[in-house]
Amino acid sequence: MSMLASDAFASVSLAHTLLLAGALMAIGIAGFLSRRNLIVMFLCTELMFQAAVVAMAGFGRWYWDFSGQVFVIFILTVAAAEAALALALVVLLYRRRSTLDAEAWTELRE
Amino acid sequence: MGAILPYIATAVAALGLLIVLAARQRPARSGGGVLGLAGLAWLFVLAGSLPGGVEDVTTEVFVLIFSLIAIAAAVQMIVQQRPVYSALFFVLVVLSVCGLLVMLEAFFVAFALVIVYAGAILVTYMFVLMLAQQASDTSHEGEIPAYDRLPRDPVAAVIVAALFMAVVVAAAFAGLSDLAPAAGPQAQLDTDVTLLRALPEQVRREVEAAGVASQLPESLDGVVTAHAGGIVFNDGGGVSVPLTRPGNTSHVGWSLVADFPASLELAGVILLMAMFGAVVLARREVEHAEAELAAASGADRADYDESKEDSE
Repeated sequence: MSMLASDAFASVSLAHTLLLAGALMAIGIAGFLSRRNLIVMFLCTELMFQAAVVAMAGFGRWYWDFSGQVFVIFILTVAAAEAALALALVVLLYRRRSTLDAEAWTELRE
Repeated sequence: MGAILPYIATAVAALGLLIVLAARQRPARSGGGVLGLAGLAWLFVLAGSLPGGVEDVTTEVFVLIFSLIAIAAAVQMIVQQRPVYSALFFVLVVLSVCGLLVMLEAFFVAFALVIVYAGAILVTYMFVLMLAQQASDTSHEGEIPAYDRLPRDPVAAVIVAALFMAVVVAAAFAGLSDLAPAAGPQAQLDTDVTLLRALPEQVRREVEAAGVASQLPESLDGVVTAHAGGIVFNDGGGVSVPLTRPGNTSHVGWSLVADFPASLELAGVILLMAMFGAVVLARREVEHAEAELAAASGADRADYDESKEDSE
């Protein structure tokens, strides 16, 4: 048994992995709802992506199924795309009103 | 009574988060932080008795350390008044999550996360932060704007987050016993054998390097076998060669191209479209900011900022 390469680490508790994922997601939600700075709000969505990453990797380890880690790669892709687009939008909005306050955009109109 | 303890721990953690978010004085904030972390640590200890629970105490101590660093950094991230510090604390979150990923034996994604997240994406954020801060600081030097100082409705935000956490806790404490058991060493060996069968060229090279099998069969189906000691190539004529077990990167790469080829192509299209979108958005000219436009037309849109400050 000790000959196996995969015995380098004892199995991590799935319950703890899921609780960490839940806590990170909850903090991300709280931050997204309570912060008013556009950039920090997008940082909070990245925090929620991290929570998804932890849950994916945890379940992948539990079932020894590598789809979980493949999905982490897809999450990474989506996060990179989101960061590029969202930050381009933020720059555009900032140029219009010279503020990063999300509440400056509560009324959307031309 | 035992069934309600996890929810009490969740409520304690949520209360701590609320204090950290809403309190003005520094001592109160640190007290709230300690309270929240204590609640979460209690929750982790309670979860230790769950079916998917503790196998090895040393491992769980490391998991607890990484988790608490990640959570503390995440809280710091959402309460920091300066967005640059928020971004830096997010790097700390990513690093500790990567520590946990290494413990989960997800080596490839752990290092990919450090490179892409802590490296590339965060640098993009930093660029935009610097771009936005530089211009706004000309009016009042070094002062933190109101929208960074005052949170918007922290009570409602924490209630939503606590409800979410309660659902996760309910799922974990009620549902984990219904889960199929974790994959043991035998299932892991079987996965390795499946991968090696799909890569006959690699097996061929290893066997040739060992120099024992003079005549390799055309099809290697069925000659790779697993037993307790590892994976062995058998040619049926008494020749057996131990094979290296494929690592994490081989597994992830194989799963990516064999199980999700269409998603892989789609991911490429998404990245391309995001690049086009960012270029189109960033190139759009805003000749005049709205404040200037309003000033030119005589409207009082320009004093948007002052009216905003008064209302608080």
